[in-house]
Parts: sequence; structure tokens; C-alpha cells
Amino acid sequence: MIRALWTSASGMQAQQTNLDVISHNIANVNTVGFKRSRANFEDLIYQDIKDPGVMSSNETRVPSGIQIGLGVKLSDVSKIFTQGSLIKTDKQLDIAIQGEGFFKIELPGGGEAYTRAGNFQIDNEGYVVTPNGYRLSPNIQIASPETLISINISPNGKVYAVRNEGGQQTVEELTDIKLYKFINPAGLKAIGENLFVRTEASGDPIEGDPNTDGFGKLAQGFLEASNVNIVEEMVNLIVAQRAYEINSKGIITADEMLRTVGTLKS
Amino acid sequence: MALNFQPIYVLASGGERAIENLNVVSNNLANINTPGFKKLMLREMSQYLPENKGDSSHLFVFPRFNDTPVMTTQGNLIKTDSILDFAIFGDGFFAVETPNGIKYTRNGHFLRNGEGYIVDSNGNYVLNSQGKRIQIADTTHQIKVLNDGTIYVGTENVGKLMIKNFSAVRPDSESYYIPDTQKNAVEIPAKYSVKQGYLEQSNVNGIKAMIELINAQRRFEIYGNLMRSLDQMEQKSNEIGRA
Repeated sequence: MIRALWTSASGMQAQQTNLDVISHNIANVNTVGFKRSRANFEDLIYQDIKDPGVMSSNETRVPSGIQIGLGVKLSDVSKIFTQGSLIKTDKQLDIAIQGEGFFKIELPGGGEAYTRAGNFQIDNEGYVVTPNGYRLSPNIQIASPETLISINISPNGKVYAVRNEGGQQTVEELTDIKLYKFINPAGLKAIGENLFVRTEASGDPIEGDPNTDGFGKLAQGFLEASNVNIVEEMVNLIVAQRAYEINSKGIITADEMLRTVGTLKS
Repeated sequence: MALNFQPIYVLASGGERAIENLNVVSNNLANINTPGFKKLMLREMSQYLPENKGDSSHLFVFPRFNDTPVMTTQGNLIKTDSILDFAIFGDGFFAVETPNGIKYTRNGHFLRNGEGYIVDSNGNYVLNSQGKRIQIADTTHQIKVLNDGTIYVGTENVGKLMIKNFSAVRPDSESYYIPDTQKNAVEIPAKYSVKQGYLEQSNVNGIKAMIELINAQRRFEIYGNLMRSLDQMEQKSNEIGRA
């Protein structure tokens, strides 16, 4: 059988994966804090074919052998952590990060995850939590909601509760919000629900205060939109589909050539 | 007329070349979206039969393969916005330290690993012009790479990407290329500029590759039809002697 059949099949398979990644990006175009992924490819191994063959005396050129590649494979799917645009929501506990860094989230049953999605809420015990009820870490507890007027969050992570206590306006300072950075954010593992967990590849989290040492600053009342560029994804979609199609033509060609072989002997 | 199978073998040899051509083209097509991929070309040669018979056999010329050179023409650059994606515009390759020695790549999709070393997507170390690994543990300052490959972290110069160019390379899978020793490859000067935040697309041209597919298939069919005709002629000459 002709090797090109499998070579072209590997090309079609690669484009299928490419399509999966692109559609996942498009599906999350409106997901807060979502970071787009990109599929990357590499060529597969090459077979060296040598041709010892006899050369005539009046022929000086010697065939040096050819290399037949076996197709393509996925090398990695990496997240691209560019900044998404900020959307004004005016909600007190919507916090966007302008620049680098992640919020740390406590997972139920122990363990930590990191997120860019700053759409927080207050649970029944007064803790600041994600929409799924996971607490922000370090924990911020806002007690006695009945006296609360507003929560103010400064760009450098200071959190204040402004209260009305018996006609007096008081300001209470709560726990600071910390941010966490990774030497290789692309090595983080996405676990769904907008969360990432550390891996060997990402390295350990580096803690810091917002607006210092290259950490981003916080913007209260804003959310970070996804960094998916829909036009670019549409173009990628077209490229993936055409590449898929063109590889199918390779299979058809190999098939037609095999048909020719089949009809040699009438 | 004595039985003469020689032409059939010449045609069969041509058919093999057509299949090899299809294999090479389909590998190029499979890698149409592979960053930094350089297409291969099948070069053929003709060989006269060795002088083992009468002069008439000099009429027979066998098509044989010669080699599959790597076509190092420039691919298009696409913007990716990743700080550690680099594209080379011009000649040369990035140098990468792999467990099997230094290899070269045009696929500048790099990352920082957990220890801060700049690595490629296989986890192999990208080398600087001194042939050393590049470690950038600093996460507070921006990494900036100039056109000549010099790397700045903030305002500090931390070295320069090694970029080498060779007179002939051969593909070595996983986006790597190695100098082709069979062709006595030597290092040659490179004129290049490094673009940060871009990747180089493969230099496979879809239109040309489709034409090559058509060409390979039709060429194969022509050989097949000629073989069939020759076979029928032989049959006829067999039948002449029958009573």
C-alpha cells in the first residue's frame, strides 16, 4: 500500500485537533477571564531510503538517498495569557487584574487553584468566594452585612469595608488581596470552571502585592473579558478546514493510484 | 521478436518515482500548518542501462531518485502575541540542545520551563550564542528580543540567541533539522532578523502541492496504460505462432 495514505491521514487528524481547539476558544468567547489556546504541530520521523543500485561508468552522479516523512503530530496545546479587555460592570466584587498575576482560590477538600476570573460574591458566612462557592485565598471575611455600606478595593489590593454603625461612618481594613505569578503560565493545567492548577512545568507560584514588582493592578467594578479574538479564530477555522480538505485529496490520489495498479492486469 | 521485458521495468521504475513523489508531497501537505516546516522536493535523475548488452539498450533510461533537498525558502510570519514566540526572517536556525546533541529548528515556539530556562515545546533547551542554556528567572521585568536576537530582561542584556546557517540540512523530525553530512554541509553566514511575538508558517504552497498530486497520479496512470499496451503486444506475438 502507498505510505501517503497514512501520511495524509495524520494531516487530517492534526487538523481535527486544531478544529477542536478553535471551537473551544469560540465557545468561550464570552467567558470571564478565559485565555485562548493554540494547537502547535511538529513533523513526524523521516525514513531514509537508500538506493545502492549500479551506476554506469559514464554516470558520475550517485544517488544520495531520499527522506520520506511520515506526516504530522500535535506537539502541544498552549494557553496564551495576553490581557483581555476590561468591561465595566459597577459590581463591587467584580475585580479585574490589569497586568500579570492570578487570584488564588481554595478548592474544596484542600488544594489550590488560580484564576483570572474576578467575578466574586459573598457567601452566607461572609467569605469572598467564586461563583462556584470556592473561597478566595487569603480568605476575606466581611462580617455583619446589615451595617455594610460599601466595599472598596484599591489597585494595590487593600480591601476596606465602609460601615454605618449607629449613624457613624466607619472604615474597617480587611485582609489584602494577593496575586500569584508563575514563571511559565503556559504550563498551568486548566481544570475547568476558569481555574488553573500548578504543574511541574509551570513552576511554583510567586506571591506578591498587586501593582508592585511587575504584578498587575486591580480594577474594582470591572471584569476581564476573554482574550479570544473572534475574527482571528474564524480565519483559523478557514485555514484548518482547507488544510483538512487538501489532505483528504492526498488520500484520494493514493487511492486512485492503487486503482491503477489494480487494473494493470486485465 | 524475442520477448523483451526491459521497457516494462523502465516503466515500473517510473511508477515507483511517482509513488515516492506522492509520499513526499503528502508529507508536505500534512505539515501545511506546522510552524517553521520547510518543504522537501523529490529530485530525480536518469540512468542509462549499464553496457551489458548491445548498443540498442542504451535507448533505455531508468528514472531514479537522487535526493530530497530541504527547500529553505521563507514562510509567512503570523502574529501570535506570545512573548516567547520567535520567527526568523531570513536565513538560519535556532539552536536547541537535545538529548541527542544540538539540533536546529525554525519553529520558534518557545516557553519558559519551571526553572526559568527557555525551552521548546519538546522541553529541550534553546541555546545562546555561547552555546549555553538561557535561564531567565526574573518574572518582574518584560523579556524583549531585538532583531539581532539579543535578549533583554528589563534593561539588562542577558545574552543573544544562537542562530546558525548551513549549506545543506536534512529533516530530523519534531521540527528539527541537522546539517547534512552526506552533502558535506558547512556553516555559512546568515542574514536574518528575529521577530518577537511572531511564528513562521510552513513554506508549503497548497496550490503547487495540489498540482503535484495531480501530476503524480496522472504520471502513474500513463505508465500503467503503457505497461498494459506492452503486455497486449506480447500477447499478440504469442498468438501468432498458434495454429
